[in-house]
Amino acid sequence: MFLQKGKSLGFILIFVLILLVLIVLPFFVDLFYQTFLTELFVWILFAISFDLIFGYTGLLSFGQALFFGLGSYTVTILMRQFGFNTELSLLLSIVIPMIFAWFVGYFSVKLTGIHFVIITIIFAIIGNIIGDTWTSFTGGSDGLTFSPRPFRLGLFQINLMDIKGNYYFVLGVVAISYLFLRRMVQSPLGKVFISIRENEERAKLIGYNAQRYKLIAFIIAGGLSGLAGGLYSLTLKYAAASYLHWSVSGHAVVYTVVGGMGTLIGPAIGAGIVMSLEHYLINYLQATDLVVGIALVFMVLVAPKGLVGLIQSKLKRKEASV
Amino acid sequence: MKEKKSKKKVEGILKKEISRRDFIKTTAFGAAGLSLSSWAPVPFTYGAEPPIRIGMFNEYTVFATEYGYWMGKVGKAAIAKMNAEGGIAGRKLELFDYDTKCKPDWAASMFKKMILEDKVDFIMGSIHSGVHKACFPLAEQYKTPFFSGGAMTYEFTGKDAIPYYIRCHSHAKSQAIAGWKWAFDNLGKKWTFLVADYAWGHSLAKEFGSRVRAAGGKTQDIMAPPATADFIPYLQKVDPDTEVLFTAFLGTAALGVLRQTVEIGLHKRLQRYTVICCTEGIGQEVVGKESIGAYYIEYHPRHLDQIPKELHPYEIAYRKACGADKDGKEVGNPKVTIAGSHMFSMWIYPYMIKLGIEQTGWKDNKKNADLIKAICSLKLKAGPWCPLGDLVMREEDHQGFSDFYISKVEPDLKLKVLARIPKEQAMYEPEVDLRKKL
Amino acid sequence: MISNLAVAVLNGIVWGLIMALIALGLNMIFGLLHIINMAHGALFMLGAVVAWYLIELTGNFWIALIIAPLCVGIIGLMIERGLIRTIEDKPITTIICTFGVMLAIQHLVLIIFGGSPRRISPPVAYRFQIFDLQYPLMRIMIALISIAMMIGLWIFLRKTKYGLWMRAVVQDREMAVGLGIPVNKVYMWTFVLGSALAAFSGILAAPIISVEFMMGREVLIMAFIIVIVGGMGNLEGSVIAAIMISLIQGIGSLFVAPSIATVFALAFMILVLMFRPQGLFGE
Repeated sequence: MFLQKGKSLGFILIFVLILLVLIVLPFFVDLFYQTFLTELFVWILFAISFDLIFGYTGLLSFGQALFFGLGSYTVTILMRQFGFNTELSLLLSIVIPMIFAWFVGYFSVKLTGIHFVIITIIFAIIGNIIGDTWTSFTGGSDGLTFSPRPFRLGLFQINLMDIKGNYYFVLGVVAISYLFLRRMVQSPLGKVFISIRENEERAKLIGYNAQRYKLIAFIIAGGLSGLAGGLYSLTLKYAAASYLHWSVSGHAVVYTVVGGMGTLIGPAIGAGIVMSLEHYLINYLQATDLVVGIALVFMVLVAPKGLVGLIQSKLKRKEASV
Repeated sequence: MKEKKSKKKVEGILKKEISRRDFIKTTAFGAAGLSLSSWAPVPFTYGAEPPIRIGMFNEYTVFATEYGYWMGKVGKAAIAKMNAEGGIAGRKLELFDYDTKCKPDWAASMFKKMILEDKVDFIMGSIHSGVHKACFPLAEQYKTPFFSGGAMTYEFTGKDAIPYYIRCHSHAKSQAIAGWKWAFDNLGKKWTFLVADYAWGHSLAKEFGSRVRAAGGKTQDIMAPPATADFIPYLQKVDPDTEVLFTAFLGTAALGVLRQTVEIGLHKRLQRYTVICCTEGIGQEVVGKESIGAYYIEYHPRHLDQIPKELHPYEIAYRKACGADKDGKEVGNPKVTIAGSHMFSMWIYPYMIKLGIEQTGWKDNKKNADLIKAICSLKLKAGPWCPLGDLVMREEDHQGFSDFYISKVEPDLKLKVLARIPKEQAMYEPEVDLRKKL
Repeated sequence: MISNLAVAVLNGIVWGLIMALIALGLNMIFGLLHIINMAHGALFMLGAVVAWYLIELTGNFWIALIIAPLCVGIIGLMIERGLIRTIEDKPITTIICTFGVMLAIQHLVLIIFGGSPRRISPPVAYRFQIFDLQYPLMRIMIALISIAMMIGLWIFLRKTKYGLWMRAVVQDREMAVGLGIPVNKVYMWTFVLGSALAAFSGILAAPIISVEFMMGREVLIMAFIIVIVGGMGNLEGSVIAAIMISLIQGIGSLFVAPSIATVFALAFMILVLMFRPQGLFGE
């Protein structure tokens, strides 16, 4: 009991602390780091949404790029072509991918294991082909640019053309999403997801309709991936068919595995480390992909449960030896 | 282990430290790189004025790397030469070079990095249209002049044009306007367009096709996925009475379509025509003997002896500076072929910037608008800095025009120039007036 | 129209057989051992690259065709020994690990071989006449080699001791250990065989699709799809799946835009997975 309260108190303290640091940061670091962090937040959102279906529910989907791309196109096309405002566009960047996730998920969750992986990839490939060839609507691989209007909520307004404004907006949305996901994975619903991951047969025996719950997880993850895509487009003021390619899903997979799956904080850390590594290395050599490749292999050999997993096991060992 | 733990500490503080270290290291690397690459002794001592910073990014990895390799090489050579000749307005030039990885989002990040961290004054490079489009909002937001390395989407100086984008080279529309008539008159009036199914392929088919039809010819469009390996299903759809097969693909697909056209015997009953972009930077011996008899439209001949005589002295010096020989191969490395029709943009831009700065007395980005206006009014004459021949810029759309060449692949695999199309023939009415927007 | 259809059918079958050959190596490693090897495409490419260097040296395609797969087989050995063995069989870690290996191999090749595509001339250039088109003999040859390989592998798996061991290990690993089968060695040699096959198919495909450091990327996904839809480890299944995809794309392209034909082919794959998740011929 006290351990539970202690853990949640600890979490709240750390979360608020990190949030405060991130809020104050723009006054100390230059503009480039603000834009870098803004993009990092977006990828963190994408990674934690992936963690929901993979880390918590055990579904390895390489097709999340489809929802990311849909979210990014929703925001871009609605604002550019139809003059929607930012608030509604962002909301729809969650809703429309959720609808697609419902459709894709309906078929996909009937399968397991590698079959699930492949079918999600196939859907992503189809989305990519349509995005690439329907150039009149999507701009194809050249993409579409637009100018987002300020985000309004009541009397409160944020100018998204301003780097700082953009930073705070994305930080806010991602922080709220993180809390939302955390609440969810700790709730009874989250426990069902975990039980499906651990042993689907047993979960079914207890009486849970595993497919229904997998679909729920898939839809929520799809919506949040879409939100990440929408935020990404608002930040870059750009959308392109290349975001629908299944290799974009690979980002989420890598960040989650490096950081530690099924922990929510793991993917966030993984994203931070891998992205920082890439950006740092580019100053010294062109072959960053080579280094990232080697680093991945190394990570997987040394810490298969991700960094968070590594730290957790070190802590457990300390506890055990005490 | 300790490093991992310290990395896990609050990200922000660590990044702040990196940012300062990075900046110092990058400047040191940049300066070291420049001094290594400049061969000639520096006759001037530079004043106390800060250097002019030029950012460059190209496709060095992933895809289209044969373009990136040469664009980077020529860019570095141009900066070195300009520094050897005294820089611009007594200020030295510093080059920052990054990889776009063919990814619009990564490239946009590099674009921001160059502007916000490296504090560059200008950015040039890249041939990837998606990369350019993604950087448009940034060029506008930071009011940084962005000089196109080689993006072919014509709308970038048309309906999608922005005031901070400058393009000295051709694009799908000007290529079509320059290249359709000669082929129509000499190769045939019934055309089939077998092109990659995305924006670039579509626009070539549209621009060439509409002109052929307007002149009374007949056209047929066949789209194929950009990464097609097996072209036989598409080639067999070519109309039996087609006289000209126009193809537009990149990379291995380009090689595939050229070879497979011959493999199924189509070359016996029609002429093959394509833009040099398809096999730029790839030696004709790699494209293969199958390409003998095919026609290309080039923007600058690959072989020295095909270049107009009056341009030879400039071309020879230009090739020497870039490490290219008279056959369009890398000096000392005959397996590497130049991207001759594209890389010149990196040579010309520093010169255009120099002229613009001298004309306007530009000192910093407060005068960027005037500088761009000056640069886009330039009428360059053939010279050491413009081995292409004359090149005119247009104020209304920031688009440049120079001569085109129609070449044919000879039995010895050489690209022989059959016709020179003067730049005036490639011009069209500007679709936008950017003068009002600056 | 008839002639178009005839060529489309012929090419669909021939190209399908070529794709099945490419998927064969993956079928060994993934289909049989259930190891998800993201580096399959990179090994495919490596075969072509090594062959290119050998052809530069010796001028002979057939020598390269024999030796290059052996070289790549050794690299496969190193990957299996050094990495896969340590990871055991957790799918997600194998994916990431082999993905990292793929990135590393691709980049190394970029640095050493360079970024621009190179050519391997087809060893036979003969074309024969079909209606008003010519069809390259090279393609038919590769298709026949593909069939020969398939038959050879089938015999190997069903009729030899080693093949028996492999099938036993897949069916029930613990039992196989109990029976005294050297399971580790089986895994190792299967991986080597799969890598060598990937390289072999890369060399055969090279005259058609050119040698380039990224040549494995598109091929990788298609190979996975073929293996799964055909039924993991089922050789006949992957041939049928490959030919079906190829035919749908080829014949479809006669009537609709090729991208739409590809989407149809992929949608068909989804349906197959839905109704027969074990693949067309899987158990």
